[in-house]
Amino acid sequence: MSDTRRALAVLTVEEGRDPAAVADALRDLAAAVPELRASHAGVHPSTVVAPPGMGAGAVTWDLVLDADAPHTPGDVLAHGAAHRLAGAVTVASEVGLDPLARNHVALDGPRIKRTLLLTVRPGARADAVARFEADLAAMPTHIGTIRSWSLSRTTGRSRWTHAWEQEFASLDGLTGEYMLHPFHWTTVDAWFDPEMPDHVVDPVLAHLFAQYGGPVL
Amino acid sequence: MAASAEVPVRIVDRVTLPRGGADAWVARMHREYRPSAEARGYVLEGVWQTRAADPGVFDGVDVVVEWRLPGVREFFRARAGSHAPATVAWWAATDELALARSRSVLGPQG
Repeated sequence: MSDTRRALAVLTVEEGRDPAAVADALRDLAAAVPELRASHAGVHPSTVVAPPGMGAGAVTWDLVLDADAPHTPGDVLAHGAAHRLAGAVTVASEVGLDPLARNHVALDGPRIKRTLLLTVRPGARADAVARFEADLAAMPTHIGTIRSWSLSRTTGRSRWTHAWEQEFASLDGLTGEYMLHPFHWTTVDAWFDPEMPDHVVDPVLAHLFAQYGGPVL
Repeated sequence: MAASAEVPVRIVDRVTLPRGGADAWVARMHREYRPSAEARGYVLEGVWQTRAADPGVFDGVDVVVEWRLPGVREFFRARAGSHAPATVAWWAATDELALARSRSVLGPQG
């Protein structure tokens, strides 16, 4: 059993505060909060698609915590070491991550990390949800631009049931091959399409991405 | 089939309707669904159907409606409108009538 666990939050940056400075301060917390093993933060560009407060200029914050630490991301923000962030951010969404499948692929240098937060509709059949999860986890075998990735069910109080995360060497890997690959639009997208009788995913999504200097997953 | 924005996309709806219900459903489809689908970029390729078997053998009629889109980016642009209330209502009404329904999104073979 791993001695760490992952959590993820999307933070709204208050008006007048610099999102890049907020991301720097979040990254610095890893050196100041004992139970926080790693802290990665990226500022969303204008092309993300997300509910209000989670879009452009908001921050995706990835945390690796001691497995037995009780902290949610919000708890970490309340730590004394986070005083620089007081009044600068609001937690728009936070989830714990219970991985179903993942893979690490070595990649040097900066990368795009994409996070799709989604909600499986209440009442969706368990066998359909299992096939949906299997199709998502199969995407990296078809789409070569996906490097490290992780598919998780979420824990904690949140509207989201799943987090589907990938790293790409560049944004083209996401907007190009990922979106255009036929496995995506003939097979995986069907689970999201409300015109499909068997779709399982609620239409409200958070399609988030940001640039990071090194590995997150 | 490699990843490319240029490949044509086919969307095939197969709806199994009760005997005697196919003509009315197709007429409603042209009236209530086709205009909004075309506004999203769909082009209707054709509508086909089986003929009803003898009563008591199988009381369903399969109707197949085929649409095309010129490429993958056009497919995703059309998908952005798939949550429209009128579209959701159309399929909900269809599912109340239909004995079975499927939709396939297809690209060129190979």
